[in-house]
Amino acid sequence: MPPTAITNHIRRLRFEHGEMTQQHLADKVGATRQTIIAIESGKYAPSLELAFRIARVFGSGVEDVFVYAL
Amino acid sequence: MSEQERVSWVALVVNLLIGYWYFGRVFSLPASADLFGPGMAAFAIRLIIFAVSVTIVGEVVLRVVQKRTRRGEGVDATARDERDVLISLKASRNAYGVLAAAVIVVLVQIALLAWAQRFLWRRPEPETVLDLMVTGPLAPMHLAQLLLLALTLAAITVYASRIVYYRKGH
Repeated sequence: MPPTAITNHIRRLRFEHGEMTQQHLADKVGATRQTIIAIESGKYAPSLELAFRIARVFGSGVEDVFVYAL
Repeated sequence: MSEQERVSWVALVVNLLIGYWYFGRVFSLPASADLFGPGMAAFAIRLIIFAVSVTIVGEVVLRVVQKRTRRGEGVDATARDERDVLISLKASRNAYGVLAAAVIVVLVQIALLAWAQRFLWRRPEPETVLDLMVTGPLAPMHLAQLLLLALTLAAITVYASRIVYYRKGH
């Protein structure tokens, strides 16, 4: 399967926020750790709602976390 | 590996084992076998016992792995989120395609057999039920076996698709 056209800065943001673990982020946004792993590695493009929830955890806007690569 | 992926692996193995056990036996029966008879009833009971046993073993394996996972990953390791739902829907769509294709193949097979027997070919004497599926004539119970095979293939497609989507992304 091709990776999605959406890249993200989640890994960097996690480390900038006290080295937050993937499990901790998953718990905060109501997803599983496997989904966070898939998003970080570009294998899954999250729904708009999940993208907003992730951005809110980092206190950022969606476009600060996710980048549309095309 | 996520909990949903583990469940898919177990379900895939269970379906493959039961499908192989059942169709391996039914298709190798003599072509003259009575698929409605008391022998078939006893066979169906053995199938149920085998299916329940395999399912219980699969469930026990899953529970043991679940316990170990929960210890490592927290209590929500078994939770289902939007990605799981999406993968489940895509896998069901694939299975629907397989089921539709299989039903069309069976219908075409019926039409071709009827046509061939009428106009074309002197039918070779089938030895097994599997031969009979190719040469005809098909009784309702033989058609039921083919449709059951289509359902089994669809179920296998669901779980195999889920595993592929979990492994490769989507």
